[in-house]
This record gives sequence, C-alpha cells and structure tokens, in this order.
Amino acid sequence: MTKTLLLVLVLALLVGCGGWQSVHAPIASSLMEASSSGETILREARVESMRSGGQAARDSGGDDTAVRAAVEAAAAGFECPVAAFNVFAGRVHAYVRELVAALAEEREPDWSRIILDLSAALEGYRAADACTDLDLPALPALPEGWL
Amino acid sequence: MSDDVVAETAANVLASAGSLAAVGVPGPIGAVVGAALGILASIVRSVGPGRAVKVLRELKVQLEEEPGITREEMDADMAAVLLELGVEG
Repeated sequence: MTKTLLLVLVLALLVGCGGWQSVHAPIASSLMEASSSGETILREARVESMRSGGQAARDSGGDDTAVRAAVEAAAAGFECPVAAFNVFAGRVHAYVRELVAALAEEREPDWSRIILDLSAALEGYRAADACTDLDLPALPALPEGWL
Repeated sequence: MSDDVVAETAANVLASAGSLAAVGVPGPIGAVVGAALGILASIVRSVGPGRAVKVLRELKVQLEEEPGITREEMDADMAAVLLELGVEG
C-alpha cells in the first residue's frame, strides 16, 4: 500500500510536466491502482474460499487431513487467476518502472518496451478475468492506436 | 527534467486538489495522496528541489521489488487459515 501510494505520488508529479509525462501519468496511475486493488481482491477472496472450504470440511466431521485437503482444493482454484494477474502486475510494474527511470534519467522512455509491457499487461489481465468470477478492477481506456 | 521543473511541478500539483482527479487517483487513495504531497512539498521547501529528484531515484529502486501475489504470501495465507481451523503442522 505504501509503495503504491509513493508511486501514485510520483505519477502525480508527472502531470504538470507536459509531453509524454502528461499522457502516461493518468494511465500509469490507474494501472497501478488496478494492480494494487486487484491483488487485494484476489488475495482476500482466496483466503475466504480456503476458510469456508476448510470450515465446511470441519463441520461435516472431517479430520485435520480432510480439512487440509479442502483448504488446498480451495486454494488450487485460485492458481489460474493469481498467475495471470501476476503477469499483469509484473508488466504494469515494468511499464511504470520505465516511466520513472526515464524521468529520473531525464530521457525519453523506451517506447517499444512500453508497448510490449502494456500489451502483455492487458493479456495477463484478460487471462485473469477469464478464469475467475471475481470482479477485477476496471482498467483505464488506452488511447486509440496504442496497441 | 531539471530540478526547477520538479519543484515547479510539485508546486503546481500541490496547489490544485483537482490534480488528484486528473491523474485518476480514486477516493481513499486520493485522500492520503494529499497528505503525501504535503510531505513532498515540505521536502522541496526544506532541502530544495534536488531532494525531490533524489526521492524519484529512491522510488525507482523500490520499483525493483517483486510485484503481484508472491508464493510466500500465498503460503502464509494458507498457513494462517489452517491455524484458524485448528489444523496442526
């Protein structure tokens, strides 16, 4: 949370700079927020699913082995969305990292890398969304023709 | 970006609460970002814009941390649930 806050702070600084900073700051900020809140949503849902699965096994008279098996089964249901969402989060992170690096080093971002990161981020997000019923955070609209 | 631009930009952002909406910061985070911006303003005022650039560089380092939900976090969550349910070991 603290890290996200600091990143949003940096991105807020970009807005007044004009040029690429103004274009990318709101998008990067929204993507970082989606990444952070999506992680929270998935993690909490996974915990709740494990808890209710394990409790149901316990309530029906299951021993520790049965409860553990129920918890592990519930966790297994989150392998797909978590793995895919981690791809999204990782690529968003890489995108923001490049923006911040460009800012700190007073240079233009590597645009080809940014396009690759954003494409992979969207792909990861769609994959995560496809294998969960959870409502993942909405993504910002990217300017037409970017990807 | 020069130190002067950083300072001027920080001042602009701080001067306008509307800037938070402009960067797409949602409500709860937007509220705390306001406080964080205040801290940055203090840094800029007290030690100069060069410090603001240093903050950016420090944040760049923080960005090297692993994003997403790690295996360690997932294992810790499972261990906590099992403990709650009284499963030993």
